[in-house]
Amino acid sequence: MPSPTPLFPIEECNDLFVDACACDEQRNLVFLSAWGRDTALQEFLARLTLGTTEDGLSQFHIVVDGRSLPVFPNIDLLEKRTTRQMRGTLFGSLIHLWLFDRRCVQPDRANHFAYALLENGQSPHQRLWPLIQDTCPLPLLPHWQEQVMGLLTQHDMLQLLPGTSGAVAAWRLTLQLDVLETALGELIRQGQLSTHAQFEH
Amino acid sequence: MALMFPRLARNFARNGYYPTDETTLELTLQALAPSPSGKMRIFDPCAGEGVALAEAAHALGRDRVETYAVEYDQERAKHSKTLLDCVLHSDLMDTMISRQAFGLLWLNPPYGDLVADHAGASQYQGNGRRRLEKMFYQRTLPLLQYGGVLVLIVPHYVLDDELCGWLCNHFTELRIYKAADPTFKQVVIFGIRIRRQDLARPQEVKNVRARLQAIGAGTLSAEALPTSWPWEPYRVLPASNELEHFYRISLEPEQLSEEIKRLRGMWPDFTLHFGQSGAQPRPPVRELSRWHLALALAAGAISGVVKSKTGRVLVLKGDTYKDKVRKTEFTEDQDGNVSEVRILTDRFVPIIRAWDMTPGSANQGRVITISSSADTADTPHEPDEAVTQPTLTPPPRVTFEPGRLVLTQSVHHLIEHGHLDPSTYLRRHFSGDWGELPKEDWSSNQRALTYGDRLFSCYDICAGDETRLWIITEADRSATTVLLPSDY
Repeated sequence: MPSPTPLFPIEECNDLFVDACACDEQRNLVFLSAWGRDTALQEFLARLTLGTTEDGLSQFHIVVDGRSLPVFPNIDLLEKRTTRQMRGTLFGSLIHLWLFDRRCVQPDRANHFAYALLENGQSPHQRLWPLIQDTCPLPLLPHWQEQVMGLLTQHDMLQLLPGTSGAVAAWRLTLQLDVLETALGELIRQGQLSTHAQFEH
Repeated sequence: MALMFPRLARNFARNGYYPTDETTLELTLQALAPSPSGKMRIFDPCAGEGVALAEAAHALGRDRVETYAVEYDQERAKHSKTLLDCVLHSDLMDTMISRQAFGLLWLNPPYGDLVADHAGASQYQGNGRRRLEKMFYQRTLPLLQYGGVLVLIVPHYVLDDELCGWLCNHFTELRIYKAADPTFKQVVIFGIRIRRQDLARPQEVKNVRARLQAIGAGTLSAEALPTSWPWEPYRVLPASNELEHFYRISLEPEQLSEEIKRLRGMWPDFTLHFGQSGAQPRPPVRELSRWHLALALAAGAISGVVKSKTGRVLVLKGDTYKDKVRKTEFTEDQDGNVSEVRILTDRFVPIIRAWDMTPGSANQGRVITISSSADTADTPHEPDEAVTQPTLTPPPRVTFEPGRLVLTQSVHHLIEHGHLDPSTYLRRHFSGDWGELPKEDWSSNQRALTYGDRLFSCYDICAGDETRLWIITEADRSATTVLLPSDY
């Protein structure tokens, strides 16, 4: 029987298990969900904070299917969420930790950059479109969704991150305004984008 | 010599697993009785498939009993989980369990010798024969409540001097019987945990001890379990406190995974944490008043299609970003020391971008930007002619002395014949709007304001044949002359 949520150990931290992790192409940490006891979590966070000094961690490895994958945390960009102790489990009091790039919750408007985290089963288009409208400084009408998303995908401005383990998907939105402006302007002039929603009967 | 006798090896391969036979179990349970009130907590540290403890719980009244168990073997632990309330798949020595927490300790430990301890680091602390049974006894005894019941099922030969001594010191009402099935030479020992100071008279303890030792040595045979219990039953005490700890110490992925599935942690709130940004905005429920519009504009919340009365169609989006305004001041004191003060002031800059969607317009598909920011580097693709870029901040005040106003003959002529009204151009000149000038000339005018050089403006006019009007203010600010280029 396959176990319901596969867990990935962290090599540097024996008492923590990861149930979901998302990284970009360079294995920079985007999202990490880990479980463990209070002490182990505190130690992990402390070592991440120390970085290369003392006994710190400037990178760690999670073991996925027997392979050890490096993860590079960028401490300055990371935020955390933790639960209170969940008492009375088979392993005593457990804590659930989320560690993530802050651009997962707040798009970087100045650089037109955002991450979107989706649980497995969530429709990417439904979740990503509002984020695109929000992050993009150019006006986008609701019924332009299909063309705009097509354009973004085509120009690699909207990409599914490859380095995910567990039940999450991470998308990266990097808008290049000059390219987008030209391409959208062209579509407008061609009449493919208009102010009126086209309803097909 | 081989590493281990083959018969023993089979035993250890099963982790010393000897389930209690059915008859023994049935007869043993007759000796137990539930407490008249309260919840009972019972514990089997070597639960096997969990049958014995489940039966015990049933005999005591299933809904009044909480069952706790530890099992080393994964398959058997899995089976136990279906029968019992709380089962740890773990080595008993890798668990943290609160002391004096259980009213009944059902101890049927693995049978066998401990590995010879050459390092002196064994869990077993004692002087007698090193047996697994004793190690489990030592580990689990403190978990039993005082007044709680022990059911110990071990081969009779394990009862050496040391174990007999322990039993007599820790328990009262000790009784020992032979198991129904003789295969494993098991005996069933009952007892009630007691504090040392409450022990019975030494003579009685001595007698019981001698009897246990004789059975252990095989010189005396224990009686068979009675088919109907003739004595006062062993009453299982109700739990007196909350069970604080009952967990495995080392994290094990499979069980942790089950727990995570059960606990869920923050996962149910995933969308709450990561689905907020870019939530679909709702259209306003009523038409916006001017006040609404102003506020929404300032907040950068305006977006959508806008049609002007003249037929222009724009799709616009408002935004606001924070900017820093840098100001540097130099001051010189009497001694000639110069101090520099830099002030960075936060400024909120509203910026509105719009697609021109007017059908047939030259600017269709181009982006128009309106911003109070002087920095236009943000919008490099602005089409020059169509851009309306009103400056929301007031233009810098330009002040200079225009001196005497002089008109050339030809200008005078144009005014007289009603071809030209110079007042507009003079007002523009005086306010620092230099008209149609190349950039260099424009900035040399700006410099001239500071350094007192000549000011020069040029305006497009439509006056008969004339298309250009010049206005010049002298460097000494003595006079301002309005002239045509041909007059120069």
